[in-house]
Amino acid sequence: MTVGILDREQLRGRIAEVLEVNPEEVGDDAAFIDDLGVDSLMALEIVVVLEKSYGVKFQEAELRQVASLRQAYDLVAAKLS
Amino acid sequence: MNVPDLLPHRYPILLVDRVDDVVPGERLSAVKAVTCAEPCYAGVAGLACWAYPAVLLVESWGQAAGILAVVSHPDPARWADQVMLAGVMAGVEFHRPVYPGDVVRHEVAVERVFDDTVIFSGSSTVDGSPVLTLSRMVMAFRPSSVLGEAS
Repeated sequence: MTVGILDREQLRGRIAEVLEVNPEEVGDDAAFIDDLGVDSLMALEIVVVLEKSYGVKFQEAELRQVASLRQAYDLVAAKLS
Repeated sequence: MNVPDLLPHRYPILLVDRVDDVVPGERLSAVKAVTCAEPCYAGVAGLACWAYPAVLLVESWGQAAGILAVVSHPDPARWADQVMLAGVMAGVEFHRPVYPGDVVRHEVAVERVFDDTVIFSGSSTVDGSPVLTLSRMVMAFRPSSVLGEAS
């Protein structure tokens, strides 16, 4: 997987792929755990895919912040800036 | 490296025979030889049924990953009370069947380590040809005390 430039729709697609749902189900503010049925291990999968996709690294304390597409986007954007 | 010292699994579900190479925290190479004497072949009649069950192939690869997790931890004794759970598998592809007589070589790489969870990727080959590839296996370690007794 090549390291990509941050794009919201591409990010939505990658998260949808991990969750095995359609991209349109991953709303900007849909809560991964409460709305999309994500469990703790799937949440770690999302983090790893984001790290590989965008060449960033999350600290353990940041993991809880990856709770929706918007939060994930903002966190990755902050790391890339 | 004595495999039974590194895994809680025992006959008939100890599915790694030998560890050939390991770099703790990074990668491991191990082998599993498939024979006609495997318990899964009890009562098998037709030739087509001699394909080694895919679920056991993944289990074998997962055990190799478990060994890598255990030898990678700075305090291996910590795992004494831990149960290893293959929580998530993604991008799992089977490329060709495995048959008795095949020696399967598992290659496992650590992708990411969290506190009590390790994410692996890797592949299995027979005579250099891929039989299994995995994009991710998420392996969680949980204290046996938090797992309820079977009802």
